[in-house]
Amino acid sequence: MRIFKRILTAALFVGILAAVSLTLDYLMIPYTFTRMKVHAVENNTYDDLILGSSHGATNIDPDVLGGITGRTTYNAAQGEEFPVDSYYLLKDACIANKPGRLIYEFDSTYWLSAQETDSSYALTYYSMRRSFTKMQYFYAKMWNADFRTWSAPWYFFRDRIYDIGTNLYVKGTDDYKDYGTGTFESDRQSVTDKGFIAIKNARWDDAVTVRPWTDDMIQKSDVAYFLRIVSYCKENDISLVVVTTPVPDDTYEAGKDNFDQAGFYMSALADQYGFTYANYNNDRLEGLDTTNAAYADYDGHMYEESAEAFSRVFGERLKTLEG
Amino acid sequence: MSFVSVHFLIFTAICVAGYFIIPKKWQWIWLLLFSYLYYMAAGVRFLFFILFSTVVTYIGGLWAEKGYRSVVPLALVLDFGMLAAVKYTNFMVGNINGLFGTNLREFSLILPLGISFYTFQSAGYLLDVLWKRCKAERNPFRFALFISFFPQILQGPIGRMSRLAPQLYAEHTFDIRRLERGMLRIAWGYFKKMVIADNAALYVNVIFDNFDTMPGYGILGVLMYSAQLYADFSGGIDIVIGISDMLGIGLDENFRQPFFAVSITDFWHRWHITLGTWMKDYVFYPISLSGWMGRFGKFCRRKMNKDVGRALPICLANILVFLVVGIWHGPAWHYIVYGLYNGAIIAASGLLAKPYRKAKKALHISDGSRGFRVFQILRTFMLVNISWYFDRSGSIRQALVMMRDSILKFRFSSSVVSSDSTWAGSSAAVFLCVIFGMAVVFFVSVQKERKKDVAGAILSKPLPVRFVLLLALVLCLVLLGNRPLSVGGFIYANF
Repeated sequence: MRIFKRILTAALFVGILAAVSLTLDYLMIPYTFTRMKVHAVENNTYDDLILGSSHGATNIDPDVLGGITGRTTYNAAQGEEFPVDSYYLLKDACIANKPGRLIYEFDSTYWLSAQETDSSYALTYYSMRRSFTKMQYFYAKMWNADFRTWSAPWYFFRDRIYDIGTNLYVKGTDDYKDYGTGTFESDRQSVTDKGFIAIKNARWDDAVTVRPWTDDMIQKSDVAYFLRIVSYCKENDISLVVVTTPVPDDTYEAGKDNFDQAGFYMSALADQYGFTYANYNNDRLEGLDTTNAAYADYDGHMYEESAEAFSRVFGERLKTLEG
Repeated sequence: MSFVSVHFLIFTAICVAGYFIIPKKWQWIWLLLFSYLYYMAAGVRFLFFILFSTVVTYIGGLWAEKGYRSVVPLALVLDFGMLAAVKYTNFMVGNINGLFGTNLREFSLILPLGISFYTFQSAGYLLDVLWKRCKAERNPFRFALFISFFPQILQGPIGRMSRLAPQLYAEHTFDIRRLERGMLRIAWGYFKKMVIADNAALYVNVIFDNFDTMPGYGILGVLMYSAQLYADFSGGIDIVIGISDMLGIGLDENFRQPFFAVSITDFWHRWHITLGTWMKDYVFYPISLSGWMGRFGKFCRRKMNKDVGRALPICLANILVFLVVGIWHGPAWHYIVYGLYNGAIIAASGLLAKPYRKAKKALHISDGSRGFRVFQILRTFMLVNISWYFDRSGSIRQALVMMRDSILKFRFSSSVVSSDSTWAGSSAAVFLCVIFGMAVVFFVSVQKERKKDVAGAILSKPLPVRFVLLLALVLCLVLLGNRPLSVGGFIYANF
């Protein structure tokens, strides 16, 4: 009986700890693109699903694409989305709504370094609904992570303690409850209900270091998860198009060899595994403004108008593929 | 499998829960199973090394007990030979290339998990059997558990057959008090690791990795390294001892408030204690009691001052011991100098013991006075910190340059502690976390130095107080702790 009481006490302690942690999660974790996008992926219907990095999120406008292809499109690409995240997001999407086509935006820099355990590391995992896929995702991503990443995700936001008031206010709004986009509206950017992040103006970064694309730098796990995406698409009859959006001319010139090597690598995979790869870095398009003026930064995030123009070009390419 | 991973926590929880659910006679088999699972999680290819060491040591022990004494040196050569092959081959190749201008190619070798620790544990067992301090274990599987017991394999403490093995093979009943005590010890270990070591590491890495471009910060760097190394290593050992405690197995303590040491000898009685006692039992005594050392002692007493002649053999034995300690720490000259530096100070203190006593008497200094004790502690702390320059630097040159610049170009930017600073890639909050963490450790260490049982005192408090204290400790890990900077995370796991 005494042991039972002590075990009960231990359980009570764990319960209190969990309650405190959940409260802090609510207070400190802000409303993010990830929460909105994962909810849309799980609940909306669409023919084409866009996954990938922040370049995919800001450079490909699903409304423009849909207008040309005649297919409904949702853009679930987001910053710090690595192939492992894309793979499980795709599987998660297929639970209720299998897309006909996956457009995977390939940013080669993501494949050159291991993902850092920062504030975006676990957001996709936490935003997912409970499912067997989520359990698999847990094993793939959280199993070897620091236990605080799993048990107390507010830990990544502990230096933003002054944002508690804002978080509480936002979480009380209908926009938050409805997974809306209004919260993200600012004079610098807006987000459409199709997941496109339209950059209106932003500070231009002065310099960028282009990482060298060498075989020993390529992260094996990224390649492995990308190939899982390829296999999953084949097994589930989802057509796969991989796209690399163009970086500014200056950036391209600064790291031409590396961008070209990355392009060749993905082209080789495309030939080997039979998917389409549209590389707008190697194939610089005439008539598409790729000067610094078209971009919000050196890294390659386009302004809204440039993204629209690029999406039209890419949409035409997709239409050709369908034909 | 890092101690801070979700994986490890779940693994440990299953191990502990299962240990008390299964029939007691199978408990040791359960531990063996989990120890090998833990080992295989690091890579199945490493199994060969631990199995080789286990088989060689097991057979060597049995034969030694049967009277074939010459088998022990052979087994030791095989055990240490394997360690030398994987740990020191490239060091030798580099030195040969440097000395003779050759261009021998280095080998691509990966250090198997915990090899330094289990090799020393195996060697200790062989010598204990040889010297009849313990009996050889006849069951190979039980012996395999002694070598591979999973909590301690990564960074010690180095166990002895006579104390550890009976506990591993005994049947243990579930004891909630031990469980609570173990959990508290684990939380304390995580506090040290995450709040102190991982935060201090930010400063240490920046200062030591950029010593030539930002000279003068060496003192801050080495003080931070003191905090990092102690919190990292002792924190890891706290976790190891905590897990073992939950299983009912008491491991040897590896630390006893080392920064309260009054001399370097005292420091090594308090720091990495199990390595120190291993060196004492298996290197120091065999050397100092050997025939040739006896003859050397007689020679010294005949030719020199009687006191010096008596002290010199012991000094020589100490220097040899710390040479081995340096080599054990890693295949690099700066580690060897680190070891020799400690050995030289201990040797010098032995040689100068008599004049030192005379000087104290002349100055009317009492050993019992508080002021003198504080002086001794500060002096030892300073000497230890000088040794850290060699331990943390990438080369002897770096250590010497940093020492020189620490004095000639001393700097301490006020921006380190200003509220809006991002100095050294970290904020003032990181600095304050280290200071706060060390203040808590200092308070606990003072209590322990006064022979108070801090954990016992906490566990005897009323439930609400215990709840609040433990909750505060756990929240500190999340609120004040930093991320481990490398996979695996613990410094001594690399040895």
